[in-house]
Amino acid sequence: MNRALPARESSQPPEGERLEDKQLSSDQLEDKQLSSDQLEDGQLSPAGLDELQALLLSGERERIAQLETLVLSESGRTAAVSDVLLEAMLERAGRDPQFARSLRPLVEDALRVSVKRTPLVLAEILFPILGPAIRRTVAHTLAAASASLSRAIDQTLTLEALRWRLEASRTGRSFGEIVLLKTLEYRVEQAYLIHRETGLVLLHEGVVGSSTPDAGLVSAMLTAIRDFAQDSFQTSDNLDQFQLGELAVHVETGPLAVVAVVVRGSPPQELRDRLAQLLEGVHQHSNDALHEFDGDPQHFEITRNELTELLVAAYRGARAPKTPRVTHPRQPQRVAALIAVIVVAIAGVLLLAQRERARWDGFFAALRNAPGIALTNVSQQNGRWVLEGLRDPLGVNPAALLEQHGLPAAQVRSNLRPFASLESVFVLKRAMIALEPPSTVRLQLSNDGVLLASGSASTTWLANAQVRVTAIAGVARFNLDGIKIISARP
Amino acid sequence: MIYKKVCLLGAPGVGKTSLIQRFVSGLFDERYLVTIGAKIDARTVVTPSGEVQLMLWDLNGDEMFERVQSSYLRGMHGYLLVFDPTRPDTLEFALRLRETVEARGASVPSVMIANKADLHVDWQVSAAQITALDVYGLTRASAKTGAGVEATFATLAQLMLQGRREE
Ligand SMILES: Nc1nc2c(ncn2[C@@H]2O[C@H](COP(=O)(O)OP(=O)(O)OP(=O)(O)O)[C@@H](O)[C@H]2O)c(=O)[nH]1
Ligand SMILES: [Mg+2]
Repeated sequence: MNRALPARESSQPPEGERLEDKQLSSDQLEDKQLSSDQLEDGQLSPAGLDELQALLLSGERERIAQLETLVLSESGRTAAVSDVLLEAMLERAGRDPQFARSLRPLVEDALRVSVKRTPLVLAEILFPILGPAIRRTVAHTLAAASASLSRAIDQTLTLEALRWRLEASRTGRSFGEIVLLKTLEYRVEQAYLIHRETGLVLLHEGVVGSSTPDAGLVSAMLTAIRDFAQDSFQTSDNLDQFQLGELAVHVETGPLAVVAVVVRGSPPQELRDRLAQLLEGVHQHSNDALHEFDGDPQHFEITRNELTELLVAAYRGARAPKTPRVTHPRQPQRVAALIAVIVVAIAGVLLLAQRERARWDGFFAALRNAPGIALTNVSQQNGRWVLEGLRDPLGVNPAALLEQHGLPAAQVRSNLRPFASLESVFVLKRAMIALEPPSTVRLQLSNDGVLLASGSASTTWLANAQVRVTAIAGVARFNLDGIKIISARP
Repeated sequence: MIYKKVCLLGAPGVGKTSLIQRFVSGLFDERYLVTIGAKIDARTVVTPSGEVQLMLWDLNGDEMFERVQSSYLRGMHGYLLVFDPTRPDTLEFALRLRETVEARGASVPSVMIANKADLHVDWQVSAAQITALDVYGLTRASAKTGAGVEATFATLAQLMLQGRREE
């Protein structure tokens, strides 16, 4: 028997080799069975069998015991699974979309339990996400109103404004933004009177077109934000100020109503006092209406003026407009009137320039289309138009054309060179001049340059014509077949 | 303009958000985006009793019972109680919710909605059960097809305005 082989088993092989090793031993087993068959008539003695088993399987037995503790004991199973749990989950999730779906109810339940047991923990986790999301929504709703505000200021036309405009284009910010930055201390842009219990808007005033942001929505959202903060943190404090980007919302809460203003910049403490004053007034004179409020804000109109008076602005610097209220209608109107005058003046100048330009364009177009003129270039030199090209002396005179278009001839210098145009009109014109036909003769030019004479003429004219025709550019042949000869009068 | 605060109440996933979206913007989304906190939309409806702007408070069904206890329902003028007949437990949920709201003394008009009418074949609630809900002013609607949505909101608006008249 070959004993060299099991000796290897006693020295534990490294993990990776085990499988290979096992295979090797079973190969060996086959070998051995073969050799045993040969040894004892196909039979092994019982002792020999035991020995063989112990020999071959002692390592396996140990391993089976190990596996048993691993599989059958709980701690063993836990340890084994925990080793690969994360990897297994990741692998499964990678190839099976159903996996995440199956996990969802578990996660949701866990969240639900967490919310029930310790709502504060979740609220604290969520608030940083939710707070900004809600604020963004409100800020977005309010932004439209703010944009048109900047436009009203856009219209100031001072030297300073020009400088700001430059700064705006340099920094890539909007002009309105720069102006606000430079001059604005604070401005109350929107004011809401809100029914506390329902969160419904009783009144709303805004600096531009009060309808721009949906007052009802904003007021409900403001209420919801406050509810959320209150519920989540179980504080009795009312959220009385929060920031929405460049805008801040200041809220003053009374037992039945809430007044909220949207402010750009940093308002003085005095604003708070005014909010409180207004609120006290409302609670006093509209107490019943607040109690009985059922969705119809008609009654609260009596407070509108007071609310409008909250819309104040303060600017820095002496040059800034001093109007207490931005809604003041006269300021934008005056500016608008000034703008209108300037716009009309500029438009006038532009219109005149435009007209003159159009007249010149008309002249050049006419010149290009005029027969007998081949314009090759038009340029401007020292404020004068310079024409270059060729002109048939029988063609249109540019000076006459200028006059026709009501343009001063002094503004044009003609560098047109004379040439003989082969256009049929010109060939005919030249023929008329050269041949001096009598009134009884009619001249025609065919496309292939044949000059046809018809009618009746004297032999003298015929003879002269036949000589002179050779000097006319553009005539290939002279056809006199159509001429009836009449004898010269005595 | 008259304003009314309306809350949508019901179990998670019954289609509260979808109903509002269909009613306010005429759209429907197959995706289920769980509502977190409260979302508010607005739409004006014209009823025989006049025009009214509904401020629609969409609450998350997940914490519905907590919500019902909270300040969100404060001062509401009416509510829609939504359930999903393909999931009978949402009907139970709705009925319990209704009890809780009533117990808080908020006796305001409400309409009960059996949503997902387009999935009628999958409904797990018996016809008899549905009929029994008529006492709660049951309407059938589908946020997906839009069927019954306008009518439901109009009914509630009308109920709220009438309630005001009677006072
Ligand atoms: N077929 C069908 N599906 C609908 C209908 N209404 C809503 N759904 C679907 O149901 C799912 C849940 O709708 P949501 O409107 O988000 O439900 P919810 O009540 O607002 O849920 P929470 O915000 O979690 O309380 C979405 O996938 C919708 O597409 C409907 O009328 N028909
Ligand atoms: Mg929802």
